[in-house]
Amino acid sequence: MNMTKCFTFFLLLFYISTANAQQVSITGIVRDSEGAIPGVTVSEKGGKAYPVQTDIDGQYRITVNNPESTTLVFSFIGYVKQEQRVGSRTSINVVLEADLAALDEVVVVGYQQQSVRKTTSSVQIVSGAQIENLPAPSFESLLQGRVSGINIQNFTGEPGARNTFTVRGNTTISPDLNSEIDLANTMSSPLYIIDGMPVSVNDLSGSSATGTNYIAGINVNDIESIVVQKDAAATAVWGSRGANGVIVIKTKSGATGKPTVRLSYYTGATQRPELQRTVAGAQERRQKIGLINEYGSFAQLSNIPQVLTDSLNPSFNNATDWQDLFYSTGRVSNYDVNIAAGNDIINYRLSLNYYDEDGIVRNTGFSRYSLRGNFDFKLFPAAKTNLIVAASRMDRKRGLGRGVDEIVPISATSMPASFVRLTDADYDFYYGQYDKLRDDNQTDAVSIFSQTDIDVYKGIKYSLQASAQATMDRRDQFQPTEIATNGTSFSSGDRYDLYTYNLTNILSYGKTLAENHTFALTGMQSFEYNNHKNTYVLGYNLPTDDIEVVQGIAQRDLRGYTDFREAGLLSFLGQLAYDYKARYMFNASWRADVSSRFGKDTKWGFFPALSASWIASDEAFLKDIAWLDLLKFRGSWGESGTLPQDFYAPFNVWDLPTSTYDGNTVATPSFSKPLTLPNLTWNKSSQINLGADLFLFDSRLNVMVDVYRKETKDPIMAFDFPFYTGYSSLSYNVPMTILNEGVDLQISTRNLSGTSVLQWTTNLNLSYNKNRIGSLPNGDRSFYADSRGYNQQLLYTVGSPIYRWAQMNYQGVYNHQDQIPVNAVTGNPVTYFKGNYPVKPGFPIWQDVNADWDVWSDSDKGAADGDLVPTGDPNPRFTGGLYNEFSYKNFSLSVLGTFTFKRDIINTYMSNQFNGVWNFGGINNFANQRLPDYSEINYWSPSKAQDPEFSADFPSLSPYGPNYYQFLPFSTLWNENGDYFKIKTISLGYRINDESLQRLGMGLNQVRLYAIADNIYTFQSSSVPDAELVTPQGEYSGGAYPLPRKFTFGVEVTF
Amino acid sequence: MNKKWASILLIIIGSLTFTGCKKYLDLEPKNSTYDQVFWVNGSNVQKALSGSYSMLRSAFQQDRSYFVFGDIAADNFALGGDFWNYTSFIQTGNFNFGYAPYLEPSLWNWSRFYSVINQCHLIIENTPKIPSDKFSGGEAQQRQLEGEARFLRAYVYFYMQRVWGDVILTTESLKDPQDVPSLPRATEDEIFSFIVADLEKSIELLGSTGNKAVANKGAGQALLAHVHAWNHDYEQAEKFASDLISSSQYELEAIDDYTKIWNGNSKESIFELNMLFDAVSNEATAGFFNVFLTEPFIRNKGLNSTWSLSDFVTDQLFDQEEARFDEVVETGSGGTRYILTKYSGVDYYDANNPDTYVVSNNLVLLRLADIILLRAEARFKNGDVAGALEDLNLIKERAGLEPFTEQGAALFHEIFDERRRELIGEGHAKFDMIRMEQLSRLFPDAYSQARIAAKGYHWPLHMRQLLPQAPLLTQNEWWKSH
Repeated sequence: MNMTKCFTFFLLLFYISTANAQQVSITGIVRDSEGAIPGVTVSEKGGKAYPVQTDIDGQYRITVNNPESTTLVFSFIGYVKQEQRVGSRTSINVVLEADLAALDEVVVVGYQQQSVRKTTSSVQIVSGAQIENLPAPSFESLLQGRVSGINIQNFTGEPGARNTFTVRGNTTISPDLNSEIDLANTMSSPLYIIDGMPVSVNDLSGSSATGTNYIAGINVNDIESIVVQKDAAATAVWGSRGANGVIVIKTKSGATGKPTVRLSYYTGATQRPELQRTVAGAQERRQKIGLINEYGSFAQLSNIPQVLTDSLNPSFNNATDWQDLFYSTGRVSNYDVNIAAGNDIINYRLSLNYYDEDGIVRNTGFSRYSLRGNFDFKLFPAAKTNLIVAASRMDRKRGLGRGVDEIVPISATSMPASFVRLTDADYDFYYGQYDKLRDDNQTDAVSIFSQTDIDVYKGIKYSLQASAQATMDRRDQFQPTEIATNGTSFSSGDRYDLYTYNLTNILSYGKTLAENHTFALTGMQSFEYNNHKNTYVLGYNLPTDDIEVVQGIAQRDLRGYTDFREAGLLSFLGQLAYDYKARYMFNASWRADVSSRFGKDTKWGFFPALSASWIASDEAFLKDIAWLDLLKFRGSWGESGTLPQDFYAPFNVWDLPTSTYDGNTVATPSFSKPLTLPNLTWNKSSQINLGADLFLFDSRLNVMVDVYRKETKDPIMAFDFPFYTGYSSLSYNVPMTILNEGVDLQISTRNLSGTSVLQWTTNLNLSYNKNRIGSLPNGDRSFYADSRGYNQQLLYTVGSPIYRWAQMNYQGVYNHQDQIPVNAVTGNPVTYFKGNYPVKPGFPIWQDVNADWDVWSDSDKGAADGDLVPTGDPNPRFTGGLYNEFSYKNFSLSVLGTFTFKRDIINTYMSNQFNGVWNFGGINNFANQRLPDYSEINYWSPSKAQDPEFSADFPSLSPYGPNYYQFLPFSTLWNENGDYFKIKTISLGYRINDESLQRLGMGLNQVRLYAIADNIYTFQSSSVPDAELVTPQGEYSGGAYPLPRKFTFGVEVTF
Repeated sequence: MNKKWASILLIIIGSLTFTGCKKYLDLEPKNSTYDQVFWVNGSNVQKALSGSYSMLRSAFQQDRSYFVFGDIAADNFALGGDFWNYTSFIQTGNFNFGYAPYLEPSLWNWSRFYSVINQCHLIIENTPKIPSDKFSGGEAQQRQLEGEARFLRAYVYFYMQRVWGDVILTTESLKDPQDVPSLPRATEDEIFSFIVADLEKSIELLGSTGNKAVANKGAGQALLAHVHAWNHDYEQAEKFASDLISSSQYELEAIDDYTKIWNGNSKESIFELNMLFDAVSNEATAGFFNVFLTEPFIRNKGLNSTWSLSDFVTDQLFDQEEARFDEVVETGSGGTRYILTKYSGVDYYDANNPDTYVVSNNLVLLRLADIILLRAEARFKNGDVAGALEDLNLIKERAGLEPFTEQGAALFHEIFDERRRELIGEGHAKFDMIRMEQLSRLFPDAYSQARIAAKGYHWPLHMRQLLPQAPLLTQNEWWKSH
């Protein structure tokens, strides 16, 4: 995109609209009870004059055209907005009152608007300003540490990929982690309501060729506010899909007044973080030879691989850190232009955005073009309508385009030794894997939303919402022969077209009776239709490498299919809000949903919710306590649900694969989609929430606390099914419960008095969540599942959290023969691996749980548990963030820290490296593969063990065996503490003061300069490079995309 | 705003939404067929039946379990270095089937065979309900399809029974997924009477089509002979073997054409699974039969990734010069060991990719030579020594061996040895050893009397996987403590 052209266009617009008239200047001072306030915005109501801000002495000067009919508005965060009619005055001094400003903000709960003060549910608002200009493709990751009750973990740093975002605990059990392509799907994710349009990322991610995060299509700087709705009172009104939380996003709308143009630009660098510590060159050689000498017998030492002994050979005397080959420093830039203006009849806001981020891995990155227009029209005095049009294009470069654990061309766990020489041809081959591959991932999204409101009769209002969303998602790939490991070139095209239409009728009625009783009643009926289409073609063995598309391919090498899926959802909702004296609030809602995704007679779901709140501080007995601004108690109960991702969940479909038998078409019941039942129905979550809000000392200390218990019942999932039926799993409403219980705490403080020039606010978010399985089918029988990569077992048992591991218990090392237990009956020492390995000194101590004198993960004597015990829990107990913001005169500084505590992680990367070298390798692998640095590990060796006092911290590292998979993570050897505290974002801003701008002329209104550093430092105890960069199941595989560090510098100009 | 207009607008919009949405709430898949609409015509039944053959084929191919159960566990082959995790299944590993790293899902888990059985249940139950005029071949085709399904169901149960011992017997398809009965293992009697009933019915239903890749009447007779022999009911075994042999549908291939047996639709073959290459269908694979081959049959393939014939087989089993050996045995890469070349239809079909190949051969499950030798065994057991010798020498003659003349135990051992020679690499030897009670004679160290008594020749079951789904399932006796 040519930015200069856009810029000129907006400048032009701007100059056209600034033809001037006669002017009068009005001056004055703005104070509060303690003194002058700098930075108060003074604007003209109706908006013809440029808004100005008070200076350090609280003084302002504003120029208006027609003082007789002008009203000035004085506004500042933390104070009650004040209006003053100008009349004949030329000097107006005002005193602002401190206010619980946040409480006047309006949140949309279902189809009703409520003030935060009056709301009965647990909601939290993040204003767009808090996340503006932060260098990330999409807003969700920016909410990390800013909202309590949500857990965001970035398990990949790949730009444009989706990370986990769970609200109040995970309720999803992925039936097969090894077939899951997008790990974000293994955790529950909330429903997004973007400008009134429900967006299910689950549905979208299930129908995506590119895997690009749909939410990344929204320009972060277009967001006005994000409302996180957590409890059932808020989510039940979204009924069918609200069970995992609802995130309501409102984009900025037009303003009344003359055009305001805002330009914003930032750019910066993305940098790779620290990689695993390794040794290279001569040091690696010394280490390896040293180890061989420690363990080798005379015969073995006579036969050391040449790569180790021949240090003068130029092929073997290099020092390449292979990890480093594929990383680079990238650049991130963002361009934003927007213009807003309007009058009484129409107002609008238009915005253009271009975001571009280079990944830190070669040939990865993300770019977005987006265009958004928000228009409001006043039709009659009693009717108004708005129109929101948004279009975006996302391009994502995916590097090798392989799975999440394969971002570099050589397996991360078996990289060559550092002294192997790389020829130019090697470089060509490795870099060619990135550079010669064509992998276009393009997502186009268009959405149109319109709402028309009509005041029908005395408080009765009718609204019609209509929206259409279209997403065109397309991936084209081409791999030439030269970089194909098996010599097979291929090209493919994969396209998904997703359409969603919504039509909603809303009728509402509001009335206040006898001054004290306020009612609001809303009835809603809506219909949503989803349509997903897919076309896929793939061809192997392209005729030449010049053809990069599927053409001229032999029939045999051609694959192709199309797909079509559709779903409908009809909903009805009744909502009642009642309050008495704005002090006792009661809300109720009842929603009914009918979805085509369920069985013929089980389509209906009903979702009730009740909630109440009490503003105790308004009671007479508390009213006089000066320092108590607000004390409010809230309570709610309600039910909400989730929709299955599968549009045809209740159908037992048949597979008609392309393979044949004896030339005949084959049909079998689908085994990829499990057996199902025709009576599939809604799975529901019921949630109880108790909360309190406490605002003290003129809102200088605000505390919001919520306690909740969420019970998810009968989730639709694939469950093991008796094999003798011929089916391996049955997908049904499994009669089980998943419990999430926890506390959300938010404390915000203004640490210095309002008069201080230096302002300092602190915000602490803390979420505690305990996830556990409440009951299981078949009489609460526990069951095992495979972890990703089959490293350890996952154990599902009542009382345990989802994705808990079951492992053998590693308890140290047998240092000496006399420590090894001997079976008194047989006289034999304890054995490992089904009797195949009698334990010797240097072996790890594995706990013999079933006391059968053999330790192994699946001892198969009828006792399925063998020697496994439940161990690590990858679900974090505590998550949150600490945010500090300082402002001094024109400077501002903010620091965000995020944290996660009480989480177990497992270093499968280290495990796989040790396993690859010592368990499978033998001496040649040992010589040829890169080693993890073991120099500081106190491992067992025969010479050290001659000291009777010797005590090893790690088992024997003999390259000569014995090998019984001792380094695989089925024992707790690699479990680590996953706690971390991360200094996530530091941002420093400077606002150029108005006087210098006025001297400059040019019509500049505000200029702000800022610098941001992102992902700065992590405090952690684990040995993985970044304790956040682990899968939702807690594994660090070493192959994941690292979280980059970003440094940006930006400027923002308002005319 | 005018009230009238407002209400008109309301009504219009409201009715639009309501009428529009009803049809979008009862949606059926357009991207697949499903249970309720599947069982309507012969063409679909045919597809389902092909599905069962195809599933059986995959079940056998998985980890080459067909050959592991039949030949590796009979010590017919020596394992190349790549097959380190198979080493405990052969004699030097004491036939310890309880140690099968990475192979548990195929060797200890019978679930995949139950998928075939369920598919047969569905066909057997639904086919008679469809009107005959919905079959292109009319009633004859309808009968044939049901007959094939019955044969296949019996074949699979019989196979499972021989590998893992008493199976859990399901006799009909699952009716209500929410009310699955808990089933224990069935008794041997129940299982065999079910198998025999199925096969007798299939013989009634099946015709004598020429295509060996699907079941026909002869296959039913041959299998019934095997089932009775397994139960040591040798009179019945002899009867069905004789029925088949005298039907004259099958002939032994001449020794010069010996390898035709595995090239598809030979005169001698009774029933086989199709794995032949053709340009369209991708039924041939590289990763199954290739285990027997090295260079020069497959480029750059050495003994490490090969099962060559075991020393016992080359040195003692094939102790005489014979034409048959020369037909199907060659020296492998490096010249140090012998490899079996029954399945050597290697096809480098893709000129663009010099390393892409398939081995285009069929897996012959039942063939005439097998049944002739089975009848020799039955005749011997039934006291018909002359008949036994006649059958045995028919096979010896084709192999280019001198006729056998001894009697008594020597004859019985010779029949066994001849079967092992004739059917080597065809997945039979281990089951012959069990049926003919040769294990303790051949491998006295590994197969103690206690092991034989506890049926320790069966394979263990993967209890961690299977027990949670079937709480009444028990581990095989021997493997409870080994």
